[in-house]
Amino acid sequence: MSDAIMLRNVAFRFGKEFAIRDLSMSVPTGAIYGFLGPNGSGKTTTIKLILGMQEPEDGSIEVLGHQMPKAAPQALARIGYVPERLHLYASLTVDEVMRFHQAFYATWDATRAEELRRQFNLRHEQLVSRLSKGESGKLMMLLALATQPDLLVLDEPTDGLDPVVRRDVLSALVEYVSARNATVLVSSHLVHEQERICDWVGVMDEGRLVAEMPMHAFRSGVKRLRVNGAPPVLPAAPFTLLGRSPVAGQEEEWGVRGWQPEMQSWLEAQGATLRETIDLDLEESFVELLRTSRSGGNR
Amino acid sequence: MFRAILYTQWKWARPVLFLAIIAAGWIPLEALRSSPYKELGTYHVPSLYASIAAAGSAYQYLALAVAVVLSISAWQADSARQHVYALSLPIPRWRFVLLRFGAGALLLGIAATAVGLFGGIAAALAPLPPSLHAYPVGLAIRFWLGTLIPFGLIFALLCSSPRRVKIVVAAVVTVIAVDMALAGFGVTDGPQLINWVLRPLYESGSPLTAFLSRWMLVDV
Repeated sequence: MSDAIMLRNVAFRFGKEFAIRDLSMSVPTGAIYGFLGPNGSGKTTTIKLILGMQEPEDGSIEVLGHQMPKAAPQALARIGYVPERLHLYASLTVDEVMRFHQAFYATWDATRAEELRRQFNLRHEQLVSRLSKGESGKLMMLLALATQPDLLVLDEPTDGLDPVVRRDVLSALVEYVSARNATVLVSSHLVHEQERICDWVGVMDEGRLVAEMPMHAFRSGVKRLRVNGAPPVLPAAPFTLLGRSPVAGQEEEWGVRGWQPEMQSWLEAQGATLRETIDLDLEESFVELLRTSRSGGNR
Repeated sequence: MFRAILYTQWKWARPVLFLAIIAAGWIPLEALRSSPYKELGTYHVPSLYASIAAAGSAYQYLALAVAVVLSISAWQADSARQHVYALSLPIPRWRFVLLRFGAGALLLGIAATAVGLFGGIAAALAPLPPSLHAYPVGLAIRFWLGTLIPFGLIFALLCSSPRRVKIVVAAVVTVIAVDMALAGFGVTDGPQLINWVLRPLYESGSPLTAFLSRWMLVDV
């Protein structure tokens, strides 16, 4: 499967500070890629780089086969973008915004746009400045979907929306993706929401991608082990040790990825005893990944 | 695409354009009304000439005001959202800027047309002395070109990044502050620094010379 988005060793800085450092990521074509990370981790900056709104200091970015930001107009013609905050002209009405947007996209589907407008209960004459947060989110989603994009880039599309609006927005998204087999990059810090709709996941923290894998691997891959009597220095393990922290006496808690029950023999060979294996849900896995990546990663 | 961009700028600028059109009608009428008639029913040439010259200054102020407001309104909505919407549209940045400039130039043309039209009407209704002639078309073209210059300068500044805008504004404020301080402490007689900075803009062949020449609806 080819990649709809491919970043290689991308670096970007705000002033003297690096916001993104050596970032490589791949979003497979047709995937719904959940882009997870805490606030300020660099998700929005990465999205702006992907869309060609910022120029990387180093590295290369390819989106739908186009080099960014050089070929941004060609790529953007096939991308639907919903930003974190309302970006539309506040003094225009819903109808005017739809007509303005339509003028830039040859692929605009007027029938679908009208259907979505009715489905989202948006009135033609409503001023953008008077729209509620939920209505703004729906309007941005409408504009993104009506251009029939091959790639949807959604930056925290449901952040701050009430559950009913969130459901409306997500169901319109899922309906579109299943009908068109489009690729979606959706950034969020709402882990459970990503779990429901995404089949790939990338976790970003402090400007670095700390994990990228299929959702099923992420969901089942991270576990917490209670281990007793492990030596301070360990040889290469058949699993990834994300981190270890003392609990009481000789007992420690380990965060691990790629753990299989038969690997217990490796532990015993090191003179350690496995006391308990704890399955983590997605949110706990996410937190564990962040915690271990911040404390220095694999050890 | 151009129509869509023109529509947004029309929507943002139309209150100012309406005011400009009213002013374009009022200026020549007021100039002619305030000039005394001679007994034979024609104008007293020197006072009419003075009155028309004063109206010329009013046209200059009008041109400057319209240009400033239209250039600000062209980018205000984009600046308020850090240009995110414009940058996410599938169009090269230079082309978007060009379309916005073209739309602004066209809207300035509406104000210039009003200047020519009302100037022409006022001149046609007034019994001008034989030695004087009305030049409404010339005035309209001068008005339009005159508005394009400050429009272009401010437009170029505002379509840039907020950081660059801040740098330029900070530089201007610094020059004014230093100049005032020097004058305040008696180091200079007046605003020397500002004159030194602005002089190249007004010198012969530079962009703002149009504002120094006389904008006459009626001339010899």
